[in-house]
Amino acid sequence: MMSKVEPLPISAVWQGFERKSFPAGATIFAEGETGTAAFILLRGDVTFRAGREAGRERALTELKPGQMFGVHAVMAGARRGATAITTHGCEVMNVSGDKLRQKLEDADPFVRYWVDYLSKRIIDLSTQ
Amino acid sequence: MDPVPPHEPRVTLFVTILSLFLTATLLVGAGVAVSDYIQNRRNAIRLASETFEEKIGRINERRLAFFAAPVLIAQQFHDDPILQQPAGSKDVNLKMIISSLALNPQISAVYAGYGNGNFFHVLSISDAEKEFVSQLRGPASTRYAIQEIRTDGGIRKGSWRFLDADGRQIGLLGDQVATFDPRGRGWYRDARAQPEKLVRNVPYIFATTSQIGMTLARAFDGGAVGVDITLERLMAFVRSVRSNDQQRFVAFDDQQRLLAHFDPERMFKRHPGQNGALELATTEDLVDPVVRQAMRSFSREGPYSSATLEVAGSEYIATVARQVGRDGGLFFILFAAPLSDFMGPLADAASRSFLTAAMIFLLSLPAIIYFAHSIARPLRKLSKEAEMIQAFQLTGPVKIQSRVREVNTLIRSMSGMKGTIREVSKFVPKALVRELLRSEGSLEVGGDTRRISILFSDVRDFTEISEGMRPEALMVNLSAYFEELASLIIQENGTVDKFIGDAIFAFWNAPLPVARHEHVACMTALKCRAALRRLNSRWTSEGLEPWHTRFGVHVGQAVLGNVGSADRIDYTAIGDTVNVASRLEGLNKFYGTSILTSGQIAAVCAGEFLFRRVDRSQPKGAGKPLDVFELLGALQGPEELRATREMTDLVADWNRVYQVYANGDWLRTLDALHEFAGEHPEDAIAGIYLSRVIGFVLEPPPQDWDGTTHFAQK
Repeated sequence: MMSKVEPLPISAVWQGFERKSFPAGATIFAEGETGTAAFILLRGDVTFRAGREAGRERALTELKPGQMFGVHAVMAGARRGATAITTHGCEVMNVSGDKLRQKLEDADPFVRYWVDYLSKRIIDLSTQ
Repeated sequence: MDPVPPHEPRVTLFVTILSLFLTATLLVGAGVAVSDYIQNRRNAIRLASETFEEKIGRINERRLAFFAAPVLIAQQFHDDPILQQPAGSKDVNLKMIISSLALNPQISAVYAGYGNGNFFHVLSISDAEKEFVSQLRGPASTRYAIQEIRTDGGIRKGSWRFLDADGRQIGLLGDQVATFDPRGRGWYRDARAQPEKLVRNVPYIFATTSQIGMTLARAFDGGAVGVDITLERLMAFVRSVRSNDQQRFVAFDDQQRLLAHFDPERMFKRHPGQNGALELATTEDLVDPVVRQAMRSFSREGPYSSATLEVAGSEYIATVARQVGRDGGLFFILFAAPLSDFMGPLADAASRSFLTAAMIFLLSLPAIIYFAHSIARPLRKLSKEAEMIQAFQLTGPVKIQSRVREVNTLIRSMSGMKGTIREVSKFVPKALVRELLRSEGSLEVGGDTRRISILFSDVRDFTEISEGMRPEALMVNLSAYFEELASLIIQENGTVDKFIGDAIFAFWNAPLPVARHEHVACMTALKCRAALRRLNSRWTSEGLEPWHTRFGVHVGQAVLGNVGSADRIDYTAIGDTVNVASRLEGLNKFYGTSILTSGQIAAVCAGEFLFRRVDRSQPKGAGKPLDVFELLGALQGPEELRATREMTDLVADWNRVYQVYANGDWLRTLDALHEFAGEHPEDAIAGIYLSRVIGFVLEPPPQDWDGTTHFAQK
């Protein structure tokens, strides 16, 4: 955990993180969009819905604060597999793709490989 | 048990040297004087002996002169045919007799006694006989009295005629019945018994005048003549022999009968068996202690020319000389005199030599003082120098000069020792050396536990710095850096335990106690940081890279003592407290800080220094978590050490963030950090917390988390 590099000032740490609020019924991202950022639900609710393109949209899962979402599309460079909407409104922290990759870069090579492997495995499973 | 402190002498070297010189001078002076005295005494005894010989000679001369006339007159009268006639007037010779008496005052009377009982007697009247004349009712101006006893018609009759100094008759006592008979007298009998010689009898009491005296008598056919010498007159002679009353003069014959005594009263004694009649004293009757002692020597050894006697604390010199009288009889003269009679002038000489010694002593005193001073002064200075060395004042060489070679050698040795201690003290904690010098103790391996404040310092990225510099330049910079920091620490009563590479390990409150050592350690860290700013500013102006130093400050119990072998001992502190201080210094790297202290330090010093709570950390290997604080500055003091307004605001803002963080509400902490970042965008600790809190949002720590951040590295 102790790093050889000097710790960054808080302003630098904030870079790549962005707090955003969404009103009730707002879409955070839509299925099929290119994933450029991940999100951490800070407050409020987020529900994933899928199958809109196929005309049979269904609710997949409902998130609670403290959960991260939208990571997979960013890490795998894929399109969003679902739409994230908020029913009552929410506050999220936008984690940029660069930030995610930077975090991954900072991580142990083994962990990095493991994350990479899992992402690819998810893609493989979803395309099957 | 404590060793008994040795007696501290109070006498200075100067006084000692001065005393020795003075004692030596006094002893020499006294020795000379005593030797003088002994020599003088010897001379006095010799002088006395010579004087005695001379004295005895003079006594003999006087004796002969004294007795010459009486003897001559006795002889002359013996041969006078008119005086040999028992009857008939003797007036034809009277003038001649009177003139003989006038010329020889030692003769008190001349007379002739005859076989028929007649008696012719001419008496010289001196003061002693005046009473006798007055008893006879003779005129007071009587100078001579003539007694004649004749047998007239079977009756012995006597008469007295009184003459004045010119021989005129001035009185007469007519015929009276005479009771005196010369034939019964000792002188008459002795002279008749030895008709061929002049007889001198021992002193006796004269029948006519009751005076004491002696008689020279000579028999002739039909009678005998006599010449009287009274003791009074003899004593006048004896007194003339003595120079003073302390001198003793006694003459006695071979039968120990006294012939002369300096005290006439002692010449006779009362005979116990004959109605207290007077009789001549003998040497047995002498009572004077000086004379008695002189006589004891005589009894043992016979006559002697000189002997020293000690009587009642006074010294006397005595002699007893054997003499042969005119009549061939033996007699002895005892003469004794106080030694002081002869020592008088010699004693003066001795006192003069004393005076001379005293004068020499007084004149040499300034020189003695000067020499004593010139020996003592460098040693006194050297002693002060030694005290300064003991007080650890080691600057400068020993600048003392002495005339004495050994002292100069000592000065050189002391100077060398001072330099050596100065150099050696650079390798060991100065406080320890000072304590060793002060306590005159020695080092032993061992230690004790004590609460100390520890400071660790380390140069950031020193490896990279050293790789980018020439070794010589690096050593110069490193020395300047250490000099700056170490001298500050020592100045603040700290003990620099050791230099470890670019790190310094120092502590307070050992070996010497330091009051408020936690505060002193904090202040020293701030001073070091300020000093380094100045050093860096100089280096930067010289085109050199600045060095950034991190400090760790902690307080706690540690084992202090001497560790090592008999040849090489290190005074050091060991224990967990030391490790924690070292780790605090290391944590600076992680938190981007320069001075980190433990919670124990912050708890003690928060009233005087500004601290920022940093974290609760547990570096790897540490037994328990550690509250970490950043020391920002002093609340009071010089500006370069004082906390700035910005620092105070930062701590206030941070405390608000930390309070939310401590409650474990991560979303609100994010809010607080967000707000904090707006005010303090460059704060690195907040950055660490931001990363950490985002992580906690995603994956909160366990419910029982105590807030400790664990480090995988030391």
